[in-house]
Amino acid sequence: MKPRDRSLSSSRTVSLLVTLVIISLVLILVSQSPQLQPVQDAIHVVLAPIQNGVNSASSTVGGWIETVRRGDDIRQENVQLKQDIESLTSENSRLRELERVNADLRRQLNFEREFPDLRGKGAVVLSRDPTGLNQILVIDKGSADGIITGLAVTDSGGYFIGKIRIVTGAHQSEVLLITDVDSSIAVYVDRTGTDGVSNGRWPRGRLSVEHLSQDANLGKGDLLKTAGRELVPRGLILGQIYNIVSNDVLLEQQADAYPLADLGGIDQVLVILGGQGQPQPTMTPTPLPTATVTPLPTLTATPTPRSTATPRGKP
Amino acid sequence: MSLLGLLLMGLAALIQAQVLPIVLPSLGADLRPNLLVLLVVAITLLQGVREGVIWGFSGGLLFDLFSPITPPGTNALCLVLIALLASLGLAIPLRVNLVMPLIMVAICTIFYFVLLMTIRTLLGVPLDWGASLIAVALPAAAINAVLTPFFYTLLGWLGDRFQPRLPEEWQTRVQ
Repeated sequence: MKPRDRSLSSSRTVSLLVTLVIISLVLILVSQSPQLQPVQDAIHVVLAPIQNGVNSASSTVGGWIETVRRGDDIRQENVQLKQDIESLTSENSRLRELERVNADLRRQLNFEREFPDLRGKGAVVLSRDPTGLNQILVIDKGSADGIITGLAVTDSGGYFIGKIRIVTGAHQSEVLLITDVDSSIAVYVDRTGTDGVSNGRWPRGRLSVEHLSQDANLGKGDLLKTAGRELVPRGLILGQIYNIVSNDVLLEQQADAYPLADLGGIDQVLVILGGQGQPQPTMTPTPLPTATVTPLPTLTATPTPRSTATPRGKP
Repeated sequence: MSLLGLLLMGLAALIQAQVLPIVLPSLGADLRPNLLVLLVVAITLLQGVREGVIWGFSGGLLFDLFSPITPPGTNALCLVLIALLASLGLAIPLRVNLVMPLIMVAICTIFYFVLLMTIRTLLGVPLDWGASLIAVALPAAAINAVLTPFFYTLLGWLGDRFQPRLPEEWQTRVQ
């Protein structure tokens, strides 16, 4: 058997080499021709799914390899990221608390600007009804601090939350919150001035506003303010209406409202010791129309001229 | 056991009067258990009505001191009556099973709120009875029932540890 010729000196090998080089050159030249572009596109369409499949598998395998190779780095990065998340979460929580305090202080500043004549005394909430049956707070101010029954109480931001229910000692008294069943506050709707009475609806935690005029144009979102009865100053915000019901039997409207103060989270309050709050709206009397008296025509006696005719019989 | 009971009830009264009313609303939870009723019922079923009455009276008195809203003696009276009611469960031989204590705790919790509301109404404090029973008493009874296995087991263990004896009623029967 004749041994295979592996050297380049073989003519068949050279021929093959030249042929392949020529084919390659031809392909190169031909591929540059725009006439053969559709053919190339068809070839690409056939090959594309195969290429995509292989590419996807390669990426997956490459990812695994990368993960194994960077395992330690990824673990360290994960630990660092978790620490960063914890730190940011803590800072976020702190910022939210600061935001809340800021909002309270702003409301307090607005409250002092809006009610410059009100005098208040700050108090700390010692406890609240632990059974949950009543909405009552115990504060650390009492008779020695000038506290008397009926005084208005607001939260630190100025929202009205209730009245002093009873003074139990020199440095202790109880606050009846506006949501308690026993609470009844004279209010008015800020937008329309409509008067009403707000009653607490605990344990539902809502307010029921009654005796609202049937003709009043009330709307959801209307603010409720204190009407200024007894020792409660006028104009303190206490709630917001979310539902209105017309009572045709009593010829009035009733509204459901929720308190704006966070009654469950109060730890400091302000007891209003004096001041009138916003003034009552003054009623400008409408002048009566003046009656214009039309003078009667004056009657002037006009002498009727006598007749000049000579009477008969007389010379 | 009475001294231990005094300490436990004092701690429970403090948590019930000062901690839960602040912590639970901040967590957005309006439902709160009544640890005092739970402990009184559990100890009554485990140690007898005498222990239950002592625990109830001391715990109620401490609770009234920590919570100045209620007149002193209100919760002491309520919890003593709760112990008497819970003693009805002593006649049931399935006391060692957790189901009966669970039911007794739920019933006694509702009864506690009925007693408390009756006393407050007699003292002139207006209440919405229907809404309070539904929104306050029933949820408290449910939560107390859920917590019963833990506290019942704990008190049982403490009883075995500090005073391993049968309740008075069973001692009489054995004798």
